[in-house]
Amino acid sequence: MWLACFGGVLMMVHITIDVIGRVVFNNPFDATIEVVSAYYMVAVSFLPLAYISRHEGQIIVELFTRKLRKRSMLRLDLLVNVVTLAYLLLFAWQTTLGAIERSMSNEMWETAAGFLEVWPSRWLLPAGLAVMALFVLFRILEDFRGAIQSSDSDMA
Amino acid sequence: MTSLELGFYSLGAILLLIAGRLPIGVALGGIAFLGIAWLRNVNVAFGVIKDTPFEFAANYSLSAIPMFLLMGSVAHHSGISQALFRAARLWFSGLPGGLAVATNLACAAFAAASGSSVATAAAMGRIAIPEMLEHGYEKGLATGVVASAGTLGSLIPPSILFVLYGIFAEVSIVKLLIAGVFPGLLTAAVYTAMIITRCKLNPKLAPPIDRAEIEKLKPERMRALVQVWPLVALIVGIIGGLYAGIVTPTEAGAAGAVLSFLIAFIQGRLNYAVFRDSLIEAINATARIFFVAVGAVMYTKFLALTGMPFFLGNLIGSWALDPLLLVLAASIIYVILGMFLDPLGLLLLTLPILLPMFEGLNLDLVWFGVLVVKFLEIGLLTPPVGFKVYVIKSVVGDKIPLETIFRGVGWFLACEVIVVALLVAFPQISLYLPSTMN
Repeated sequence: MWLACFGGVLMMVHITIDVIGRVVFNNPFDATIEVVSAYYMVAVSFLPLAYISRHEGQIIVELFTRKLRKRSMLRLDLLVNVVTLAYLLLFAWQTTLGAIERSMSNEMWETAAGFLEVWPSRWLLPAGLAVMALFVLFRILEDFRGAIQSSDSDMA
Repeated sequence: MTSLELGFYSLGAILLLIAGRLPIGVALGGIAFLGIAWLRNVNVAFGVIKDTPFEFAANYSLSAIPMFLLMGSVAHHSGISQALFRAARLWFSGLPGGLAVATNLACAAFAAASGSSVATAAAMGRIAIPEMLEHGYEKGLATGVVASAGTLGSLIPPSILFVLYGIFAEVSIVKLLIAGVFPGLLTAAVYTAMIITRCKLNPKLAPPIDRAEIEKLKPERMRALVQVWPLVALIVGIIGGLYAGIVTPTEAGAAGAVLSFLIAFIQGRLNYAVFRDSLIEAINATARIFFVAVGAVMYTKFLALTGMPFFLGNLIGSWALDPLLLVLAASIIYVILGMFLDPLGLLLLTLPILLPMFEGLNLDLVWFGVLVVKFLEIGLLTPPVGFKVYVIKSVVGDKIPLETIFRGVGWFLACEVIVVALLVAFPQISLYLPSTMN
């Protein structure tokens, strides 16, 4: 999370200095666009994912399920979380493979001033996705425990 | 099952999954994955998952989004909304319905800086509604104006919805942002005219404020203006810079964020908590948007494989439909889906299907973009489940029933019908400014 915020600040400052450099001094930085796209953007889009799932910040629709009973709601949430977990794991797995591939081939982008190594930022994806998956897993376990407890109290 | 049928079924499946509380991003991406695996094979589907997220995120045009969001969250957390409302109130409280007019304009200015109309409604609602109720304003008017006025923000740059639309529709983001300026101002003008006329005809809606009090407050006007002019100048500067082609949207956003930090700092509103909260909010919102958008990109790829966009485009083209009918159909779709989807999810879900149809008729996609953003915002207000009406409801609590808010919003929806009709009848309102850019 902090890394992502740091990326956000860097991005803002870097771009601003570039604008000032270009407009005022007619002397832009090399490769701002590439650095922004390949590093900052990837950092701010994937690293905070874990934070979102921890705070239930996902965009979901509640309208149709508002009337459900608490038990059925718990079960539905459990199912939803399991599907989400599967989705995230699939992504984490595939982006890891992708990152390994790009690291092996030493992926670079050509810029005005030469070459920029972009393969390290490929690793930010599996990192963010895996941590997010972990949090979803925690939630599933918690819900599961809650479900067991509530069924216990039903019987009592 | 033909691949075309698969395309249509997939849409139904996504809507069902979303209704079952599955996160929208997961629904879009998951169905796309299964669909691609079915149409081609699992390896192709894996390949799409492997590369799409990085390729989508590592995109310079999209970097305008975190910067716009940051600018907005700074404006929000540093308490500029209060200052805006105070200034607008001091200047406009003499008019019939003056406080409502002030709220309307303060919302417009704040939403212009923040780019999210839901956040605007929540922030302004807390400040402006109690003030209006205290002065005996009718409850429907007081709540309706706050719920509705935020819609201006997504038209006036910076606007996140336009950036996303521009990426998916492959049209110039700068032109879209500039195209939104006049429609946004038009909406503000129509709203203001409606409020003044209603309050003039029926002064009971908004009891006029004491002349003496207004006179007493006059000297404060300038002081209030000093606090807000930097923000207004910032917005004008951004629009100007974009229009003149000096800066890209990303650069405008980044400079805007730096300047709003600076303004907050100079006015003594910046502290560590403000700095931290603004950053966290902006970064989180970015990740949330991109999580949905990655799913939407995959879904677009899948739909392309089914041939559905091509089919729809041809179909519409061969009917040689009146463009007006298509616009009407689109508006109905947005109003219905807007009842339960947030604007972002709705935008990303509908674009892959609607865009080919508009291309099939050779319609101007910038013009359509303005209409889409307008429809998205209207969808947030329409009963039975206007998203923003619920935001306002959560701000006012039990004091005001939901029906009253909807009744208040109704007047603004009537205005929206007029505005949309004007936008459809005169595409120049949207297209004139971009057409004069070089």
